[in-house]
Amino acid sequence: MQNHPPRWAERLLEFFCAPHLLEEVQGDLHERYQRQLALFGAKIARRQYVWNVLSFIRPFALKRKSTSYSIPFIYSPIMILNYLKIAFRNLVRHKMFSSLNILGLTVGTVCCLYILLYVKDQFGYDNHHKDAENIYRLQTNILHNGGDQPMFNSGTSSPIIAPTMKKDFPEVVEYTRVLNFFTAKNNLLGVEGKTETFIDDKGFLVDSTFFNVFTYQFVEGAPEHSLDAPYTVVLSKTIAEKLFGQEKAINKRIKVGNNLNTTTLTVTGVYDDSFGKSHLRPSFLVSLNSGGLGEFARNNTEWGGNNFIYSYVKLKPNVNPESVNAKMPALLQRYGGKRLAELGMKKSVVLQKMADIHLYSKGITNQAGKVSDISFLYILLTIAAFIQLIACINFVNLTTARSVRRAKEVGVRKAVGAFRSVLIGQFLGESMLIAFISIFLALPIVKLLLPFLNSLTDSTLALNITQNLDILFITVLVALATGLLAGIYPAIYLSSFKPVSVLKGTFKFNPASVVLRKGLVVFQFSIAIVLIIGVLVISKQLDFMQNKDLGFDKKQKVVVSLSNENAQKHFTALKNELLTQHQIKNIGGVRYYPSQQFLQDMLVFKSGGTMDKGVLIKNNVVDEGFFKTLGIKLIAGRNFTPADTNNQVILSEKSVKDLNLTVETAVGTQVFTGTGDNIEAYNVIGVHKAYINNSLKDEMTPVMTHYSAQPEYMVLDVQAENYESLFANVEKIWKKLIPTVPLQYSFLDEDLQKQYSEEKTLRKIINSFTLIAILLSCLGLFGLAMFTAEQRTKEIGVRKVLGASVVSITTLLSKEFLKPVLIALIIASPLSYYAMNKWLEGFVYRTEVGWESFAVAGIAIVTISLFTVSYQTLKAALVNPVTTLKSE
Amino acid sequence: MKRTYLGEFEEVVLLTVAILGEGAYGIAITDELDRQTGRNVSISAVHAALHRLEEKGMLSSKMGDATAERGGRRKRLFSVTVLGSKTLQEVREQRNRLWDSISPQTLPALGI
Repeated sequence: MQNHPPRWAERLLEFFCAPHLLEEVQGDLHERYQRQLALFGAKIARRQYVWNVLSFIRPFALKRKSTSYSIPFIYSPIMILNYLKIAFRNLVRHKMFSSLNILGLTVGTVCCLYILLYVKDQFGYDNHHKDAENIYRLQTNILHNGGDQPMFNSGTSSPIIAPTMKKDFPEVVEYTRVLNFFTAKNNLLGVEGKTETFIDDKGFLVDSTFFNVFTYQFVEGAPEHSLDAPYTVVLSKTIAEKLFGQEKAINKRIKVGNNLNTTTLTVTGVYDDSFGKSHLRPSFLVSLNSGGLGEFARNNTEWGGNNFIYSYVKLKPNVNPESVNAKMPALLQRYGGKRLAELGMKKSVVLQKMADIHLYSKGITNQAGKVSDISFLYILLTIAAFIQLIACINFVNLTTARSVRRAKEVGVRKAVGAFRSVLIGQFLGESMLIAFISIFLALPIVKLLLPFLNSLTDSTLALNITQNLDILFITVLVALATGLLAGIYPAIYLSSFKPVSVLKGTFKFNPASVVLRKGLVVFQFSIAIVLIIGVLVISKQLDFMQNKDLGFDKKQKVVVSLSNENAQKHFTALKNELLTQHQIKNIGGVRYYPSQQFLQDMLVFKSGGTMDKGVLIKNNVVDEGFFKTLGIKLIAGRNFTPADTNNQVILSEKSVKDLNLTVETAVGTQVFTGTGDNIEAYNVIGVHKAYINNSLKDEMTPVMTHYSAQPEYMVLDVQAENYESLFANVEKIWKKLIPTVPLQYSFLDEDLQKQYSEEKTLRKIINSFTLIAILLSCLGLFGLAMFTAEQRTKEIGVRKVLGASVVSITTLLSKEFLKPVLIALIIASPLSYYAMNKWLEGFVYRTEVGWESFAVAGIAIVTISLFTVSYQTLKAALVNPVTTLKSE
Repeated sequence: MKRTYLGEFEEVVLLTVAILGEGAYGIAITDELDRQTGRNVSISAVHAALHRLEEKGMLSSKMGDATAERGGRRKRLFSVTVLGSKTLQEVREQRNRLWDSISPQTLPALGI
């Protein structure tokens, strides 16, 4: 339609023009427009209209008319003092409600603050390195036999890859490799010429380019060229102090390694290990240019296997890692294509951002240190938010329930001219006040509980507000958010009262607010019930794993580490000596005892097959006593004898099945590995019953066991009342045969349990949170019960006069509170059933959620809530009706 | 006594309102100004002046009738107040006094 001026110009005018002028201005402009339209046509008329509108952008049209009533000055100091005074009077007058409110918010804030501290600490790893955003770690994925599941997804890679990348890709400025060598054995450290040593296994063999990629602050020496020469070492400050005390460490010589093959290294620098957070956390760094394993790594040309080294590359600034990732398959194909085909292996190497290593490494094995997981942090944050929400709900419920007490105040304030916005400000301010009081209470409590909380999360956090401004910032933010969350609904609700009805006395409760209050209680209890069921199911699964038959006897087994070749050589002698002790029934030697990961594997095929069609089978090494010591039955063939060699093998039930053999026919056949002329044959002499070596989270793997008389660990089957005397004897024998190495032992069942430390931490954390959630929910319920009992005193009095018994009144009052709890149970049950089933899916061997968890949770929550309200309901029911009714 | 200052454009607008009498509103004033003085003024300038004059108390206004061409919006009709007419009178007298005080032949003659 053309006889209409442009819409946007009209809108613009309506937007800026003062309302009292709008009608006449718009009318005049329209009138002018109509005339222009008739005279000059639409185009010119429209242009003129726009021009006219724009010309109205001048002060007189913009200025809003002031109202004829004077606006009270909201922020006058007198009024603010009045608000504060009223707030404090209310706090003091209703001590019970105030303390319930403050207690609830304080408990919630303590949880919240600690979790925020913890989560904050988990972020910011590896940010302190120069150009940290350009540093990436190589991540290796290996698929076998065209399978779609990666057999191997590791933070390590073959040593040849990173140097080749630097040679071939112009984007790669620098590379460095880090070898986790010293963890394999118990590694002793000492000063040359001194006898004292201590064990430290956080050392790495690194390329001389290490400090070109990573940034460290040196206390002694300088990073440049510090690791160029072979047999040089850079120490962390902690280690340097341990070795040399206050003396200078530079140019001194230290011994590293076990006593038999000790290497002497020259210290070329000391760095401050308290600077920055890193996923590596090395305690000392040795030059990879040294001999031994360093030499092996440097000269390694294997493209398929030997994925044992951490490789880091630094890219040019602003290079997209994807562009490098895209070039990786071609690189692998060019140099290692033939070898990979030979191995029947599909391998891919991708870049992982260094800053992501600490939090985003789920599913990547062989980490250099302990890594966290972002989803765990999300769980923690969710729990913290829910706890704080429960505390806020308490506040909302108690405040709205008590609103009738403040209705008169609102009425009077409104009657003398308070605006609604002013009242909202007042009530929000009050909740802020309470939130800040609870923060002030929470801070010292967190500080006090820090050792306990740290033990829950297995960390070493400190609360230092004066030095850490961001913690102060977080604290204030938590207080503000809490105050807002808890206060906004009560403030809106309280300020909505109509002064006329309030002051006339016809004021009634808004039924909607009662429904909302009940809904919030349902929500609180749903959270509490979900947490209770969570705790029950996690405990059930942990019990299940503890009692699951693993296929061997784990009771009263002691594992002794034969940490170096010296000890391994003495194994037979040691065994014979130890068996003379009547407390030791059996001794078995083994390389990977249950709870340890099998690190060696090979592609095995039966006669007539080839390697690329082979089955990936894990390798273990045992002596003749191992199966007997652990009570693992042989279901076919014979056990090892000392006459056997590495070529005699015993297969597990699972590997027999995977190789398409049968238990009956397997014994006496041969299995093979290798290609071309390089084929190795193994004689199957027996089959053992399946036993679970690793965590119950994982699928059982096929295992082939070889014979060796020099194993890495010794498992003792003991029957002892007094372990102290047993270990004294064992130590005496050990000292006699292997005086140079300290005795190290552990209990097998404890080692097995350590596999589930993550689940145990989770249980501990959820346990504590459940307690807090229940406590908070009950606090809220208690407050509501108290309020209801107070409200209904007259009704109860009348009922009693008419003959109601104490029991019937208690039931009547309790029923009201039981209903939301029961509804919560109905809502929470399917939710937690779903969530816990999802969690259990992470375990291959798992228990069921089970109806008894729900029953226990239900009975517990009903009992607890009944107990909570019973005090108030009984009190109300026992009151003599005369006291409540005489006042009217 | 300090007299309220009246700008030249304000004076013209005030006079135009007086000319129009009953029917003095934004567009009519703008058109009349155009006709009388040949000045092509914008509507906003006239509105601003009217607004200012009303603030000074020289004009009073009331809402008038709505017409279709205005999209059903009412006009604001202006009329000169007593203060306005007094100010106009004073301005006129002052001008007259000034004219009277000019001695003959001082101004360059225009033609005859």
